[in-house]
Amino acid sequence: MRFLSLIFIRHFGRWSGSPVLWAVPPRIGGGISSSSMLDLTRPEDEDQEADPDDLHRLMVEHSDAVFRLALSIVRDQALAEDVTQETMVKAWLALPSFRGDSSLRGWVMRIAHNTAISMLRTRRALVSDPAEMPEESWVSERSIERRVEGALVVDEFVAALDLLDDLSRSIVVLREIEGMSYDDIARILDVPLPTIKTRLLRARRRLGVALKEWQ
Amino acid sequence: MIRRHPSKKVLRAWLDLEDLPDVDEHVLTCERCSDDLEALAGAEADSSIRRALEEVLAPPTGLAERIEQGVVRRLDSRRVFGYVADLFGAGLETSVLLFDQPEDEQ
Repeated sequence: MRFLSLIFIRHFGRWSGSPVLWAVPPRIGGGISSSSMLDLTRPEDEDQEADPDDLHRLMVEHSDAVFRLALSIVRDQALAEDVTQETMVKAWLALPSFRGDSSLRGWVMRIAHNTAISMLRTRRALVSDPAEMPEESWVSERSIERRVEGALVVDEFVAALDLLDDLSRSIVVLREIEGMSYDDIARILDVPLPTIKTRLLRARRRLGVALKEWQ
Repeated sequence: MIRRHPSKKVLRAWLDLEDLPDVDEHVLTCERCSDDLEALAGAEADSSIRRALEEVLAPPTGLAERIEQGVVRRLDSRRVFGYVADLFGAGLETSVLLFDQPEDEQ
């Protein structure tokens, strides 16, 4: 009895006291900005409420970028939204541990990439029958509307994106849309610099061929 | 994996999407070849790739609001769960103090 009780208390007692696991959101000193990450400080009082403005700014400034990266990896709109929400929860809770030695955007995108890969693996493990995977188009509603209008041939481009591996799609999104440097991308994806450069070149070539149909 | 650096001709073929697994593997870690490939490929990609990606990967309307609401809900429920766990832990600790005797007293 004593032994079991001690084990219980050791785990529950410690967990319940952990500000990270039990989600008392961090207090952010001067607000969140990708250009002013030095404003981020650890909460002085772990029990105080999060500033709704800081949380709001985190969402507004980063959720679109996180969603685009997530969608490029998981290729499923609903799952990409789940990844975005999970990423934001993780980022918010881990914000006190953000040291500011990279940009806040890069840090959030690294969490997003890892979360997307992890949730995609879980989805693939749960769906043993490929026929159960969603077959509908994963592209944005805006693209579908334009396709209905007959204004473009988006299928070629999407097919070319589908042909790329997960890593190449992430690299293309981080470079072409987010405009990140090779070094930042290498840090986010945790791969060597030559891998970033060569994957990007090949991906550009493949997408460029598809775009000839688009234009 | 090939150890010698591929010729420019081979790199050009790889860049033109020819299926060359050995070269593929080599260039992933070779700085010299990745620089050569950059030079062969020319300048940055044209903006049409960016525009197409933005189109295809565009976030749905109201995404930030939805995500924020979901995050706030998640954080609230975690906080409540934390309080419950704290109470549970305190209860257990009390029961140990009340009912468990130190081994030297037994």
